[in-house]
Amino acid sequence: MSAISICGLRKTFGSFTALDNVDLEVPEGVCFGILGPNGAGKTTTIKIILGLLEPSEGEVRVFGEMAGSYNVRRRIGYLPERIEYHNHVLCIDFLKYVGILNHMKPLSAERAAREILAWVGLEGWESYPIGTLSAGMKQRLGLAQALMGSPDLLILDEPTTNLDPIGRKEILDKVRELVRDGKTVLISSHILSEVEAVSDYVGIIFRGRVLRQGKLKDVVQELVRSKSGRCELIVDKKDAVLSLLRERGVDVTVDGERIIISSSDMDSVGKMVPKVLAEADARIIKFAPVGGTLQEVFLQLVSEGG
Amino acid sequence: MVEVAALSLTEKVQITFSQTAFMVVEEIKSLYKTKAFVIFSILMFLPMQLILISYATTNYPSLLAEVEKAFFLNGIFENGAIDAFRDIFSSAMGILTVQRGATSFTIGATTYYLNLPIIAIVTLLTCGFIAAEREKGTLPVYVSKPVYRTQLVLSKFFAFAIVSLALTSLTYSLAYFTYAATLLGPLSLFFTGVAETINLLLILIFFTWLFILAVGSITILFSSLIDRSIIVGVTSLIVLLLLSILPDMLTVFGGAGLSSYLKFFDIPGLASQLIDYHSLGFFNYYQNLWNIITMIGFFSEFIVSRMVDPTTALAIIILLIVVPLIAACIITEKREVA
Repeated sequence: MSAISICGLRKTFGSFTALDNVDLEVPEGVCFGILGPNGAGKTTTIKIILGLLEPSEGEVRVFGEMAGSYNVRRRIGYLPERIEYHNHVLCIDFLKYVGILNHMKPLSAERAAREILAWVGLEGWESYPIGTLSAGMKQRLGLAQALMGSPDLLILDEPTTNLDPIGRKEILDKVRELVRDGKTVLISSHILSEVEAVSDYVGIIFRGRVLRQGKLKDVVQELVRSKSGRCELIVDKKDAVLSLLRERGVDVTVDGERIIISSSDMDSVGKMVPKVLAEADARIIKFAPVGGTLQEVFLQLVSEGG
Repeated sequence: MVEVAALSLTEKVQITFSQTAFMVVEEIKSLYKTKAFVIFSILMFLPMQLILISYATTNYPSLLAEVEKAFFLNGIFENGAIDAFRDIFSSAMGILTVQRGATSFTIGATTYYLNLPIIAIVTLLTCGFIAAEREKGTLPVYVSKPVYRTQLVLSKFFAFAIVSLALTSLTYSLAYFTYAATLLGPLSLFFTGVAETINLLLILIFFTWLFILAVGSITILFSSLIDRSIIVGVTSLIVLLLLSILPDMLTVFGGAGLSSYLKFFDIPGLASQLIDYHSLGFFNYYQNLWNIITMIGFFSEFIVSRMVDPTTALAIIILLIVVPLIAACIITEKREVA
């Protein structure tokens, strides 16, 4: 069974179409990254999955049941993109309240809250008002509340916001740990390198449509193959090599120290480059295909609109 | 993946009730730490403090002058605003009989409690109950949990009801006994007998509490409709004040017809009439006063046009508590959480 199954989802706000015919499958027990620029529809999709918004058309199921149903909400933990708190409330009391909402008894909720606070790196801050926490600590607290009740599905919207690099690494390590424990994690982030580091699957959303989805490496490889014909060349005598390549009619652009070669026949390029280097008496520093990272795939897709 | 069985109806009911009870406890713990609650408490305790100040200014003026000087508060006890509040109670000081003391307290206390300051602070306290959760982004977190949105609304309301009942009971009792002690001497706490005193206090506390709950309930309704706490507070305050002022203004300016309808929404007026009616039997003086007032032509028309029979008044106040609350629950259930 898929953890999340979205079929033909459409959501409009008045005359504005936020989501248009979205199909998405999130398998169980994986980390699924949702990528998209601001306003793409990521958060709208997440809120429909949670039952906070109603779809205009289409069907969304979570663990086989209708999204937003009471039973399904027992199995979900959610960290919103932007969360503020009542500053006078103590950290432990806030988590205890969330635990009670998750059907825990107050004592059990308090015990679980202390364990989770330690797990997210906030041990010792139980009795402090939330207003005394830094922005990064509040983000950790947000992750802590999502974990109350041991949910099977975690939905994290920009989970590393306000965290320093060490904090980001710690949170991403925690996410990997949760997936290893069998949880399904849906992570929405603008920081593509982080999504790439932690996700098994990815879905790219742009202007309310899903451009690509699937296993991360498959999505990246498919686009690299379909858009093949680009490679980068870094040499010690850039101008000489550039001039020789242009004489041979090769499509080249310059990006700083990099010479980007575009061609539909990379085999020929591979044979030609050593000859050009020999003729220019240039030393090769780097020669590699371009478009091998998620960021480059993402930018490429978004600029083309799919 | 392990399937999680759906809860049976019995289990759901059991969980819902126990969950709501736990939520109420946590809401109470959160409520009493807010600034609005601190101001609410100060305002509720103010009559007792004003009675003491009034007593001190009357009987120990030189001591008070020393206190002023020590705390750099020169002239504070001659402050016009404090005088105005103090006069509500001090008119009884030394000139009325023991029997009239309880009557004066009732008139003075209801004039204070069923009025603008308490309306304003209750509005401030309750305006953010739902709106603030939307503003802060905590509402999506809560409603994504296995809890009915109605529980969120009701738990806040019940917490507010419990806290306001405790505060009303305590402050009324303290104010009454302070008043009695200052009028009759420190060892005397009762104007009339013990049973009558307790009866009177219960009447005062109960109907003032209903008044507070009605103000809170109407504000919670606005809080479910409007997403910004400050706008909720201002809107609710304006509406409630208009409803309490308009009937009088319309009567004075010849609109007794419309006033006779609007009087049903004048929450302070309804609560005041209920207190008057239920405490009437205690006070011969008050009965005489009532007789005098109803004999005067203009005022009798004024008073008669504003009168609501006690059963209707009680029913209306209860409806003004229950109906907005139910509406707030329905609206919160139906509205999307953006």
